[in-house]
Amino acid sequence: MSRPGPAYRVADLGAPTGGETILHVDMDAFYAAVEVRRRPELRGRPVVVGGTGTRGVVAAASYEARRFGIHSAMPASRARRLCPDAVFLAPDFAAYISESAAVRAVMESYTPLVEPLSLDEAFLDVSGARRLFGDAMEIAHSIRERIRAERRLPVSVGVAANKFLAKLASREAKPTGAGAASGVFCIPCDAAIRYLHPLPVAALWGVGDATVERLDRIGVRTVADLAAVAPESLVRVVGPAAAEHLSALCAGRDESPVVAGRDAKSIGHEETFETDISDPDAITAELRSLAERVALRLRRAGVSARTLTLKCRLPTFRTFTRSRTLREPTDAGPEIYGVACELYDRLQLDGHAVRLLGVSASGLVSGAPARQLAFDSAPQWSPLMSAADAVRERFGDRAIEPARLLSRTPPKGRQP
Amino acid sequence: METMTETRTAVSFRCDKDTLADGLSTAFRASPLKATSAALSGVLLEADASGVVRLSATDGELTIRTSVPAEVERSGEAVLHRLFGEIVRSLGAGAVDLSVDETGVADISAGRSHFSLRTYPRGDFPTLPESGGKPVRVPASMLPAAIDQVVTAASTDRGRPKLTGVLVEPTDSGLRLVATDSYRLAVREVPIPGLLEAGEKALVPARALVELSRLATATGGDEDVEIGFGDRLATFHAGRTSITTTLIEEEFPGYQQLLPERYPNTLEFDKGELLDALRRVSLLAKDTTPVRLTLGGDVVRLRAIDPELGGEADEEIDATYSGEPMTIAFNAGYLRDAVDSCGTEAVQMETIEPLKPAMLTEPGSRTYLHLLMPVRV
Repeated sequence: MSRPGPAYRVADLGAPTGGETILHVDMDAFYAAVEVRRRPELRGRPVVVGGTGTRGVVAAASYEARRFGIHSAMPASRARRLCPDAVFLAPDFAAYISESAAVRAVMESYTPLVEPLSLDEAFLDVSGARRLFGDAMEIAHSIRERIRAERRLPVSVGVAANKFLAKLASREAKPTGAGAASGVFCIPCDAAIRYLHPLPVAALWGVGDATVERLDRIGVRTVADLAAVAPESLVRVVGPAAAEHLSALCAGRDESPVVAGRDAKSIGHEETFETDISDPDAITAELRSLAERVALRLRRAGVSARTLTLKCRLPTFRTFTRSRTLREPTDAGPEIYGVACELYDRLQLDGHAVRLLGVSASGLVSGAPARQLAFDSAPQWSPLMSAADAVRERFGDRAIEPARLLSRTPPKGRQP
Repeated sequence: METMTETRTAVSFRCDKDTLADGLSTAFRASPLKATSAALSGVLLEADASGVVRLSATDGELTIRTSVPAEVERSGEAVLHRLFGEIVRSLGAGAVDLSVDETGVADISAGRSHFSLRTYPRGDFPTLPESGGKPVRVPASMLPAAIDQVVTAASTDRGRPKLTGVLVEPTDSGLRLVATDSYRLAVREVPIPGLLEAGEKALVPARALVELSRLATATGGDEDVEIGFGDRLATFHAGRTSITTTLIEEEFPGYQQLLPERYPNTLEFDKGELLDALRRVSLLAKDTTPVRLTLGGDVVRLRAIDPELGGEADEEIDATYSGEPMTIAFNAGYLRDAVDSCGTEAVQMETIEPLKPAMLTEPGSRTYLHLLMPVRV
């Protein structure tokens, strides 16, 4: 699921210091691995999940297939050209969902602080678990071994002091990374800056193509370049909130907690605005952006949602939620947006300022929604979405957006 | 109400119970289930001194008139409540006496059963339409199978009126019946010449054709049905019954361009075997989980998955197939209708690719085409 790592060498980072308590557990080529597990004859062969059916996009590729340049979200036709001998399998999301739950159960036997990001990755905060299970590295190895032994699935674990670094570390733990040998990689606290500085700025959380381009214009390409930029200059280039965020990441700082108990059965986004918004156009633009992001995550997780929920907080902190259950599940942004608008209208807040908006999707069912095709089919979102998702996969989530979002300034983080 | 009594004519007749009950149930098929007044969903009785009682009901679009032989003592007319039909049906075998007195109360008696029921003023019942068009005689036996094949493809969504109709248009050698609800399209050629002139066409509510099919079936093998198409009405008449329907005054969608020129893949299977397998597999095919057909080799594999239930159904039946291996998914109900509508033991399904329509036909014949849109999975 992760983008190919940049080409750089990882210097010896030294031993953990004891302050590394966050794990990022990331299954290796999860869907493909589940398929290979039940069809051992496929072991060692390039296996591609997806692209057999009608959506025509690769959902997952085994490492053998990745060697041919195949990666997820690539059009199946291209994948077939790259590796005509690959085995193409229809995705079986029911199996992946139940496997994901089994893997999560293993993680939850170490700590309740498990924050799933999708079916195949999760953050764990093991600071409280060390007394029982040993230090973070031991826990990482133990979890990896148990998933390999009990679930017969390969997994990589990143260990670091925070979520941001742990996620970078798990990439190094992948079969293609520097820590491939053990499947566990640690970025020690005191080596974080040394590790980060050679990375391209795109490796930082929240740095999309627009930011990369803006930074490139002032000659900033690596994290080291970024760290050297004077704070005032950075504010001028990316704005105050993003500047603060980037400075923290450059220094290897990330305060975001591992949020356990987040209902894994829902996928949502919410946005707290720097200044409360009341302009109806701004509100609908926000709803569209939230809907598109929720839809993208649904599609990436290979699920569709039956129930959509809108959350709305006023400057007084009074908070409303409204839900609607659809007749047929969806993973389409325009549809989610339509329902979000409807739910928003039902609140009858006309003109009232809003502090926070959120859209979440629950009642998840596996797979893309089946859709009865008609002779006079209204626009079928699916082919459009698959194409747009492929672009996002290559160029970042903000690379393709509905036209209405283009004029909108990106929302700035503020704690809700 | 008393002021109205002089406008009514008292009626009195005696009729065989079964004959009257059958006539009423025929007429009531046109009566609206939901009406703004009880009179509108009632039945108009017209007792004629010649020894018949005419029974009529209408919903404004479809009108059915039939008649039953009766000993008419006093001729006249009355509008009775829908319940009248149920009352007659519930009576014991034998004769039924009906009389309406000067105050508009009907008395229904059979053996030792007595009912009284108030009637409605004739003015509360709609004016019945004239007959449509010059009648043409058509052999009754040609109609039911053809009609039944196409009407399943018509829409029941009143929000899309043109799709609730069946297009009737002339061909070189007869007629073509076409219906679609936008998910499937049924086209049937019928060798009935002379009903419509070249260039003429009629969009007939599918409901009315269902009644025509029923009428033709009831008429029996070697008799004729008279069919007349007018500008705005069509009338079907056989025996004692005539059905008049308004025509749908909308343009039917251009269906010809929906029919693909060629199909590279051809599957043939046994109708009964597929329907049996489909019935089992469909237990796990809900709205969002269609039935997938995997084509290739000497079998066709039917598969349905219900992820919420965590269930899966899988069955193979023998088939012959020539073409590319592929999996194509359909709504289970639509697939059943399509297969079931073919009148032969073997059914042929031609496909292009998984997102393009499949065409079901009776092997070796292009008299009947059923085009079915797949489900994207």
